[in-house]
Amino acid sequence: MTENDHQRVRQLSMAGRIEEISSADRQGLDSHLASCADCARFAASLDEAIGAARLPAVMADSSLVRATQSRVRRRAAQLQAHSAAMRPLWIAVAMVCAWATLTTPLLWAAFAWLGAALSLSNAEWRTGFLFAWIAPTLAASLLLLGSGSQRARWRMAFGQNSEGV
Amino acid sequence: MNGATCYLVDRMEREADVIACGLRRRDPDLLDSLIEQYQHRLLRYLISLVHDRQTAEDIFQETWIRVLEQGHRYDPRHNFVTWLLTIARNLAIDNLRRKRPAALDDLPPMAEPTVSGPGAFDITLQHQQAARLDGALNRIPGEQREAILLRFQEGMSLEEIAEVTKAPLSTVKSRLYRGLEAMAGLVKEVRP
Repeated sequence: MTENDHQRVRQLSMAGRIEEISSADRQGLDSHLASCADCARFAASLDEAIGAARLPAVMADSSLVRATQSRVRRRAAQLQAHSAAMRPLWIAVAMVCAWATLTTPLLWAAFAWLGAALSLSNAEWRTGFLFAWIAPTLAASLLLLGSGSQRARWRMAFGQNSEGV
Repeated sequence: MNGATCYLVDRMEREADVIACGLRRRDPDLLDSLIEQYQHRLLRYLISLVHDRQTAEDIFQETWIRVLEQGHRYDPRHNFVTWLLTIARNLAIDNLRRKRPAALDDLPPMAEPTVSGPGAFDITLQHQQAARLDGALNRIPGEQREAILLRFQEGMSLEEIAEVTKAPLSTVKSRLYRGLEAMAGLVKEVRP
């Protein structure tokens, strides 16, 4: 046998431990290992290396498991509460979208009719339409911004007070 | 595929479906049982990555929080443990980067693992084995070490290792071949 043949057998020894090899390769390998002490020693050292790669048992403490379970439960409750709090907001958004989709064509037709009745130019009644269309959104945004900054001021004042206490 | 294999594959798929469904619902009971089931495997893997039990325990908890938060992303076509170890690995790497910007390869040698076992004989054997690990497993590059641990300790397939380590299959194979060959040489060196 040439050195290349031994090299091939050693490669096959590794392949047989890392992935699947064909039964013909397996048979050839076994018969070679039975007659070649050097390659058999190499195969034994591979097995030893694999044995060394298996770490001694590492056990998680029961306190770690309990702490993790309770932390996960707390976080699950938080996420649940957050999702419940967001539900009305999503319903409101869906309703607003549906309402806008239904009423925009009607509002457009109404402004077009008004423009014709009052002999307004297209630019005039369209500007009116645009203002009427975005006015509720603008008003709601300003209100929300106002209440948000008010809440922030309260929080800051409360925080300063509690620090003072 | 024979009957027994078909049965096992079918059962695993059903289990994965149950897990995916429970994770989407953020079912705390399911999570409790998953934590119980995978506690040792996950902690062992984390210790092998970060080499410090306290850090591994912190990442252990963080991993399960991430499982809860990202549960809807779990694809039941994949093995749950592969997905779990991928999350753990990402968190471990983030942690190592925060501590010191180092590659997985530059990790310090593994500390002697915390052993458990009732008998003194077992403990002695484990210490001897740990000593050999110091001599062999710690002397090969981190990426090869990780591939070897996932293959021979966690019993993962090459495809699963590729998924966890986000490396191409050919790279995983090459890491395993090189790592195993190097370890075999090193084990021979420390052989009494």
